[in-house]
Amino acid sequence: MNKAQKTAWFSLIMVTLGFGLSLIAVGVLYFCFGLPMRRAAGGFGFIGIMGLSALAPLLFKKDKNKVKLDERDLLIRNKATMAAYCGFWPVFVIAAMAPFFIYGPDGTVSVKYLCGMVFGGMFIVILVQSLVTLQEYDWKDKGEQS
Amino acid sequence: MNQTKAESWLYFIIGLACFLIPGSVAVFIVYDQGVSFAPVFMFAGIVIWFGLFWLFPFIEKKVRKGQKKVSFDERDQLIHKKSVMAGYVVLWLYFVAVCVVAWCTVGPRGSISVNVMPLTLLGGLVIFTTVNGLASVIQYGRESKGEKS
Repeated sequence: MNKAQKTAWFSLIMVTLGFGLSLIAVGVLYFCFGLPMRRAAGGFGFIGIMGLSALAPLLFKKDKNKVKLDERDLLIRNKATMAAYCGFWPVFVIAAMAPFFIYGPDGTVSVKYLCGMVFGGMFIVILVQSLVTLQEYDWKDKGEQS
Repeated sequence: MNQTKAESWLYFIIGLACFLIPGSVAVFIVYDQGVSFAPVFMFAGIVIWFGLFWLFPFIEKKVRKGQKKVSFDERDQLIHKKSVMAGYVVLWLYFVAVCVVAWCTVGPRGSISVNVMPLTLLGGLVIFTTVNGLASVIQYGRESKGEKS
């Protein structure tokens, strides 16, 4: 497995773990402990685990003597990034327009919703980028070692 | 009609069909009947389509595969991809900046009008298009004649 595959797997695991733990925590707090949703939403703090995916370049360092990125790696990286933004944009637009439709033009929405949109966007970008990277390298392909 | 003219007509028709006509209809519906699902859906559709319109040259290239004259070669593709990436980077920074400004302005317990969201999207589109165009101009070189196509 090369560095890009390892990074993609690591990001995918961190994103899934962060999102999964958040949903579980909110569910447990709301259904098992009977907390109101406003307090149970504190379980979304686990989403911060997603931020660990930024450590991937430090964790998977490459040998200095080897070529860092060849043309194929660059092409796959570009493709994955473009796909990530293609996935991010429609979801972001829908998330931005939903309050307008639900509450009407005179409605208001908490400022935390705006921040939630940015975090949600980050989640989608990292998820789609990792999935496309692994798909382009072929999931089971061991690939060159790096 | 040469290929450049045909492409210009194609982009003009697409612009009319996907942006101008739905946008005008949405504005008319809002003016006549007030805000409802239809105009909001049209607006969202236009914004989504406008944000992904950069994919069109790649789709057109695949459709026109096999034709003798190449109007979108590898260099054009690379420049286009780099310009789109630059646009998305700036767009992302803009959205984060909007979020931070809103948070600092109204405070963590505050509320913002729902009208801020569509305006933010429109601002983002303007920024994306501007940066995309600037990046293309810089990469092609401002004074380069380039190849004729």
